[in-house]
Amino acid sequence: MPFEIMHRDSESQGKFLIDLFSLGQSGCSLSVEYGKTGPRVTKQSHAGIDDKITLRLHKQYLKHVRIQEQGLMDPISVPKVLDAFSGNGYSMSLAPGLPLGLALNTMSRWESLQVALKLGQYFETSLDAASAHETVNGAVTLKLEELSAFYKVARDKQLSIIGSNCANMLRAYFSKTRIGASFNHGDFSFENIMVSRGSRALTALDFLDSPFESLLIDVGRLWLDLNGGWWIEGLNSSPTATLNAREIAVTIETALRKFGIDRRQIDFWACFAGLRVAPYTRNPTRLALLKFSLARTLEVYS
Amino acid sequence: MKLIVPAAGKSTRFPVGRPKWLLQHPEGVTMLEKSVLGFSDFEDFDEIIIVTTTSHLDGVNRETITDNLSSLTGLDARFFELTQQTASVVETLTNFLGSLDEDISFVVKDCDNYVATSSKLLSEQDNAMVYADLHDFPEVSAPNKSFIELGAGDAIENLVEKRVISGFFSVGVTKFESASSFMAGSKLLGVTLSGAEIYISDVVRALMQLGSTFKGIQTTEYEDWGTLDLWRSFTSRYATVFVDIDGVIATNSSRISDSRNWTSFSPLEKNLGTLLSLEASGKVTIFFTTSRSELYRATLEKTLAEQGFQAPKLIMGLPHAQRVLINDFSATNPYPSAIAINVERDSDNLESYLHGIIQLKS
Repeated sequence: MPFEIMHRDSESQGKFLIDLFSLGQSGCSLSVEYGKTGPRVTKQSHAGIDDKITLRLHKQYLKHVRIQEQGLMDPISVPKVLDAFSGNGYSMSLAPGLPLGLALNTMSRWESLQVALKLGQYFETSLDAASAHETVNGAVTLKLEELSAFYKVARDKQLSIIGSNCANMLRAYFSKTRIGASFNHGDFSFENIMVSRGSRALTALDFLDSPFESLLIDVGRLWLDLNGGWWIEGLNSSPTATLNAREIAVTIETALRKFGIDRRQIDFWACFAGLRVAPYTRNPTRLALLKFSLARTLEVYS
Repeated sequence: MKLIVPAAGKSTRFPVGRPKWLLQHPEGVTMLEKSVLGFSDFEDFDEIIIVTTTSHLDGVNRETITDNLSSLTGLDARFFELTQQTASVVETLTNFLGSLDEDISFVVKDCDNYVATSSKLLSEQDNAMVYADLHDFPEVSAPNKSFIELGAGDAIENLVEKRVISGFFSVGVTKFESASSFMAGSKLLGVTLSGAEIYISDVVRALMQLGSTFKGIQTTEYEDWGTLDLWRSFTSRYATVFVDIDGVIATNSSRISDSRNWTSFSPLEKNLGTLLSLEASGKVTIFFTTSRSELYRATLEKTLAEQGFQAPKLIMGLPHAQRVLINDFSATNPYPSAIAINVERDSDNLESYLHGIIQLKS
C-alpha cells in the first residue's frame, strides 16, 4: 500500500498494522480502539498469567517503560504507554507511519538519508554510553554454542550445514573480539521501525530481551534486513527499496566506523541475527532469505 | 511432497497460437496431462499444482483438466494462476513458492515431456534429479540438454547446462527438499523478475554449492516434446488407419466366387505383419473396411483375432466404390492430415507405401 495513501487516516493505518503484526511470531494479539483522545493499541497475551508468553510480554512492557522514561533510543521515539501492564497486557499510543520495510519502496533518496541519519544517531548514542568495563563475550560464546548445537541436528539439512558453518565461523571470530555491553532494542527489524511521512520521524516497536545487552545485536538485525530484503515484500525487493536500503547501509557503516566497527563485524552480527531468527521461521520466503544471507556471509568470509 | 508442473512460459518454440501444454496429445488428453502420467505411482504426492497464467487459461475449462488428472492419479489437482507470463521456469516457481505459508518439499516436472519414474524413489531422497542415458536415446538433441556427472552412490557431482560432459542428461524431473532451499538457491543466482532464462539445473548447481546433495535416478523411458518439430515427430507415430481387407490384407474374394468367397481369408502375410506391428506399437488404431456384408462380421472378427489383432474393429457392408478420407488440418495436425494409399490388388508390399507416412518405430 503506498506510503501516501496509508497516511490518510489512522483507522486504515491501524487495520494495516493489525494485519501486519498478525504475521508476527510473538504469540500476542493486537487491537486498536479509536476514542476521543486518539487511537489506543492494546497488546495482550491470551495465555495464562504464568505462561511464558505473558511473562515475555511483561518484560517487554518493562523495557518499553524504561526506554520511554530514559530516552534510550533517541532520536527514535517509542509509543507512549497509556495503560500500565495489568493481567495479560497493556496499552500504548498508535505508532505513526509505515514499517521501514514498506516505506523503502516509495521514499526519496533524501528521505532515506534522513532515516539513515536518525538510525546512525541512535547507534552512536548507545555506543557512546556503552560500558567501558563490562563485556558480554561470555554470553556471546554461550549463545553461539547453543545455536551451534541446534544447527548440528536441524531437520532442514541445508540449514543445518549453513547454520553450523556460520556458528563456527562466528565463534572463532568473536572469541578474539571485545564486545562491550550497551543498550539495545532487541529486535530491530524492518517491521519494528515505523517511519512517519513528512517528518520522517522514527518510532520503534516490539522490544525484546536479547541473550545479552549489546547494540551490535540491533546493528546486525537491521543489517540482515537491509542486505537481504524484507521477506514480506517477497524474494526480490523493488529497485527503489534496494537502492534506499543501500543508502541507509552506507550511512550506518560510516557511523559505526568511528567506533572501530568494520564491515566484517557488521556482517557477522547480521549473521548472528540470522542464526537466531531461523529456528523460529516457518514462512518459506523468510527462511529462503535467511539462508541466502547466511550463505553469502560464508561465501565472503570463510 | 507436492508435484508442481510449471506451465507459464511463452512457448516461443511452439508458434501454434496457444500454449504448448494445452495441445492435444493423440491419446485424447492435453500434453500436460500426459506429461504427468509417467509416474508409476502417486502415493508419495499429496497434490498436483499446475502453475500457469490466467491468460493461458482464457477459454479453457479448468475442471476438465483438473478432474481428469484427479481421476487418473487419485490426487487433488489445481491451478495456481499468475497474472503475467514469466521469463523462466525458475521465475514461475519462485512466484508460486513465494505465496506459500509453509515450507514444502516438492517435485518439479516439465510439462513438455514424458518421463517414466516413481514418486516413491523421489520421496526417499532429500533432493534428486531424474536422468537418462544418451545411448538409450540417440535421437535426443544433445546441445539443448543439461548434463550430469555422477559420483559415489549416484550422487550428482557436476551439472552443466548445454554442454556435453557425460552421457547422462537431465530429463526435467527434480525433487527439492524445501521451498526455502529452492528460493535461497535462486536468490543466490541473482534471479530478477525480468532476467534472462534461468534453468532449474542452475538452481540445483547453486544448492550443490551450498552443500545440498542431489541423487541421480535413471529413467529408461523418455519422450521429449520441447519443440514443435519434436512434437510433430512424436505425434506422427500415431495414426488411425482405415484398411481394406480384400486385396490388401487378404487375397481378393468375392461374394459370388466359388473358391474365394466371403467366408474365406487367404492372408497376405507381409501386409498383415506390417499392420500387426503398427497395432503393437500402441500408437496406431486400425479400422478394417470391407464390402463384405454384416452377415460375415462374426466370422471375420474371429479370423482377424486369430491373425493376432486385438479386438478388431470392422466397418462392413461398404459400397464397392471409391473411398474418400476427409480430415481437417492445423498447425498441430499439419497438412496433409488425411492421406490415401492405393495399393495394387493382392500385392504384399504395403510397408513400402507407409514409409514416410507413419513412423514405423514403436
